[in-house]
Amino acid sequence: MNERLFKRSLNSLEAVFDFIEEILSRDGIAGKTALELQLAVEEVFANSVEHNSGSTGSIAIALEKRGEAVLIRILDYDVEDFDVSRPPNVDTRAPLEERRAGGLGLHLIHTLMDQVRYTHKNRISTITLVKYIK
Amino acid sequence: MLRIEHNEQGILLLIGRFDASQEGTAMKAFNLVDHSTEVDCSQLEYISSAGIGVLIATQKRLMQKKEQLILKNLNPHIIEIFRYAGLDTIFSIK
Repeated sequence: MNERLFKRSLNSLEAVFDFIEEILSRDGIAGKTALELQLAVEEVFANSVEHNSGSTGSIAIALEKRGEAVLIRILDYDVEDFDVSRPPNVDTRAPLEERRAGGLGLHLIHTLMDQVRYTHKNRISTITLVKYIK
Repeated sequence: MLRIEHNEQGILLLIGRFDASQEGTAMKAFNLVDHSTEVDCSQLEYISSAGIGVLIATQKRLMQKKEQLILKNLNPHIIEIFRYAGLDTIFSIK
């Protein structure tokens, strides 16, 4: 897999998007699929930055096309256990006054990706996103 | 990178990518909106939950005064993301 390390900061997002675009373009993947993969990775990355501010480690992102799917693996070091593989309970039909921003990112990840896998071992979280190319 | 501009008609233009790194700057700009305003999204390429959160917070604030944001000219990708997030039921989309 093609892997790169990114500084734990939202300012890294532009470089994250460029990395994803660069690797996907080698396989001719662009447009809607590329945007959806960038969005899912941003939600994971931003979640890591926000909830693991105590960690000073970089965040590693690896991706590759495997058959008819794109696999993305995001490794985060020295972090608490937070299982993103469980879809959140977000009511997208709730009236405006009951809407909260919390959980929306995770909801989008699960809506856009075909698989979301998660492990947490020795304070290292590994999130694997899989999207089938239609 | 996201640019937020006003045109002569008072329409707010969102230009570029509305990701989490733009949330703080965008929130400041949207906090200045105090009446019903059209938001032209024809040049908005990308939006994540952070950007959606800014729009929801602004809509909540405006709705308390019976005002609202009116979103227009969204590209098909953005429309789909808005639908997944359930924004189509709380915004007027043209």
